[in-house]
Amino acid sequence: MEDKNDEVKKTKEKLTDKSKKAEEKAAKEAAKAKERAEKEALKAKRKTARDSERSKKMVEKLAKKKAKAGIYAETIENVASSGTSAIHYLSPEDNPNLEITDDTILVVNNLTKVFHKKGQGEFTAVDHVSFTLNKGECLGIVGESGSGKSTIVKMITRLLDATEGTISLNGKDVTNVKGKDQRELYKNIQMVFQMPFDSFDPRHNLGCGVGESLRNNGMSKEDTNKRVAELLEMCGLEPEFASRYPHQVSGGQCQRAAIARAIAIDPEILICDEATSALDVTVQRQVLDLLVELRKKLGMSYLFISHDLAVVQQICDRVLVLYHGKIVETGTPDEIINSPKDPYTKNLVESVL
Amino acid sequence: MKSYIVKRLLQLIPIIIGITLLSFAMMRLAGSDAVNEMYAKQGAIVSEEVIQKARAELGLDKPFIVQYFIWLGNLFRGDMGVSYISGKNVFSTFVSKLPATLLLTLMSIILTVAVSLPLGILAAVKQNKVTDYIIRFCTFIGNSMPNFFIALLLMNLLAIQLKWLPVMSSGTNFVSGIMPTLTLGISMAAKYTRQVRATVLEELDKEYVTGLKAKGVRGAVILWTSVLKSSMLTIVTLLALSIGSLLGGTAIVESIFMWDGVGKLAVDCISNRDYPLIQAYVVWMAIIYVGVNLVTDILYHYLDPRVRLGGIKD
Amino acid sequence: MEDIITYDNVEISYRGKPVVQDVSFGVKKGEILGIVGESGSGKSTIIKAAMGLLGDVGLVTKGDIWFEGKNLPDLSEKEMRKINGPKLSMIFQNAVGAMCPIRTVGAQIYESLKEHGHDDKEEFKKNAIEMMAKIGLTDGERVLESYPFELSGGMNQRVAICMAMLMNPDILFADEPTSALDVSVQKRVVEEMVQMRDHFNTTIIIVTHNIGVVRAMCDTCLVLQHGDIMEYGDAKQVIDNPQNEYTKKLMDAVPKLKKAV
Repeated sequence: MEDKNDEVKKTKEKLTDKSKKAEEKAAKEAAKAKERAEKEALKAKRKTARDSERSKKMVEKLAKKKAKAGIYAETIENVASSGTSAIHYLSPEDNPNLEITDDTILVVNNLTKVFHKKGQGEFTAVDHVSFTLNKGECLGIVGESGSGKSTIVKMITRLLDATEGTISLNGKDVTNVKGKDQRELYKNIQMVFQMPFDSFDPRHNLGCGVGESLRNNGMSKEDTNKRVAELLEMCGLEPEFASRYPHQVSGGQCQRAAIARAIAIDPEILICDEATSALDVTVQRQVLDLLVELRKKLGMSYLFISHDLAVVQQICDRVLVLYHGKIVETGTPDEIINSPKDPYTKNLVESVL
Repeated sequence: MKSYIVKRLLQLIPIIIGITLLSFAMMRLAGSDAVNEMYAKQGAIVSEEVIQKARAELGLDKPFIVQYFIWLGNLFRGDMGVSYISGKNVFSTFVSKLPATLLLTLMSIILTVAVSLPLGILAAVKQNKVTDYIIRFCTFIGNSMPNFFIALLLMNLLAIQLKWLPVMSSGTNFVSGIMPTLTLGISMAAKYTRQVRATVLEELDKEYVTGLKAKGVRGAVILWTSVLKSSMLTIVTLLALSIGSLLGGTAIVESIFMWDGVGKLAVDCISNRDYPLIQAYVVWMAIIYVGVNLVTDILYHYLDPRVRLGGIKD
Repeated sequence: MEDIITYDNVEISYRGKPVVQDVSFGVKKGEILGIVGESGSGKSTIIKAAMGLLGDVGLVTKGDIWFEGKNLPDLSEKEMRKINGPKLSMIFQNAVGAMCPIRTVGAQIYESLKEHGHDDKEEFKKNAIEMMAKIGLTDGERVLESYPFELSGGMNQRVAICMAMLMNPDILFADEPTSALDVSVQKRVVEEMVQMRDHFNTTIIIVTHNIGVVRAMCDTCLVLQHGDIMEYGDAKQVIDNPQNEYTKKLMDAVPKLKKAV
């Protein structure tokens, strides 16, 4: 009898031990879980704190950037050549040199480019240039070599970084875009260059060059070929030119292909960087007529860069005159040619032989 | 100018460290070591203990990086160590072989320039005429023959058949040097004549030659004053590279003619795995290339005013 | 007055293919002739033929070019060298390219003078600086010591004119001398060339595609298309009142500045 009781006692003890152990275990687990939970909570707290700090810093940075872009030291400089003063303005909307309307698609505000040459100091190629381009307008930029016109265009097409100033396309700031945004930019701005042969890859035929932007944007080969034939016809070339190589065609034909290439993706703005300067006179006439016709048909706006005032008079609605990186005069071609106000413009008009 | 030179010379330090570390590593990877080679050459079969003892003596039992840093430390103290094979001081051994290589380099370069410049210019001026074809054919042959083949041909012709020159070089003198110089000179001249011809042709095509002709300047004068000066730039660059490799010693030619120069030394010490000597050779090569490149760049500075000035006055 | 240079039914071929055919005209002493045409018309070829600068591939296959009683294409290279420089000289479109880039301007001018017997360095310097002042390069000494790439395009072209005029040639050929220059510089260079003619009575034959230049400085004008003469006569006549169809098309296509009267 006692044995049994002993046994029962023993089993009871065992059981109580077991349950105690189980309890302890459970308690430990609970404690651990609590600890873990607390740790996590702490981590989460710290994370949110860090995140909010980071976002605060970001906000501050953006604010500083905006401030930099918007506010300049209001200094007044004297432009030696023309005697007019150039004042650096706040945001584009406050710059009285810029008339921003609903039709304005490109706004360039206080664009500046300073080159630093080792051992030769600084060279200001473009000095706080501001202008607007409206839809369907043809704006001419006239200047001699060294005036900065090519540099302005390179900054607009992001081939160079601007030192100061902003460029905005349809309200969006594109001054410093890179990567995907830059490729988006190129869907809206295209360029025709001065040397037609040099602007094409000599190892590929013209059709390939013209259709390249279409292929890059996902168009299939057959569709691209069809579209290329259409574009070439629009520019006055037979579709069979697509299979010719740049060195097999004349300068004028090559330049027409270059124009076809530029309008392939329906850009809003077409920049012509001395597009007719390297062509023969008769061919120049034809290409200019083509450009005028395309502008009417496709509703593009043009930035027409040239050193030839007579050509600019033929096709531009408004003209900017550049001298040593600054805009010295603006107006319609007739105004500038018949009644130039700035002495440099006067000199330029009188020098035309 | 001075600071530029100093900067370039300071670049020697990381270059030497990089190259010597690489060569150290590669020698180890190539397997075997000085001790094995020594006993293998002797044809003796020795017990492991002896080998290990020999290794410990030379410090070859320590880990690779440790060995390298010991060597580097010694280098900065000016001690390049002692050859594993001969036991002699590395620096003096090396320096004693240098004059031979320098002499051979000098003679080969003189011969090359003396042959390739006039021939190249002649070929360019008489482009596509008979003279040009003959010269081009000769350079074609010269280029296709490997230099050991030319060496053996010359040896056969001049030493064995005509008996004008000794077969092996008896010391570092002018007569013994004729055949190695001819060997190196022929192969290099074949290359350079083509290069000179191409450079001069390019210059002759430029607009200023027409401009000078329009002033009634004689062809020869145009050539010597303007064209040659412009061609010098390319030619100097090429010469610099060749001098660099010549100074490193042309192992094959030196070995064939038993010309006791740095190239032959390099071949011997590499096959013996004589590490200190190998490292000394590697350091020497680094110094040559940095030095030769520096001299070339300085020469450019003086030869081409566009490099010197590069600006626009108004 | 007799012509100083006469082209008589001249045909010039490159590698056997005629580039210029049946060209005949004459220029009097002190006259400025403008040869206009588009690219490929053969205008540069015509003047290069006179100085023997056609290279290995070009040849005057028919006709004669008479100068001082001699037929220029018939002369040997040695004889041409005596004429090129002192009697006939040329300036090019790319003034910088026409000079050796790694030698100073002064050294190059002196060398071309030396070839023709004017050895005296002091005299050369004096004459050169004087001539440059006439053209508008005031700092002559500094220019002589510069390299071509250090000077601007306009300055280089002026140096080229100075180089060409130093030996007081009878005829100055100019191959598109103003095409690579800025508009304002172009005007000055054109004026300076006319001054040279007024001062030295040099005959100038200028090749250009710029009708404005022809209008500003030429007495007579020759219009070329694909190697054939389309029209030849008094410059003002040819420009304002062209008779030939091609010339009319050419003059129409030229962009003119329309100024309100």
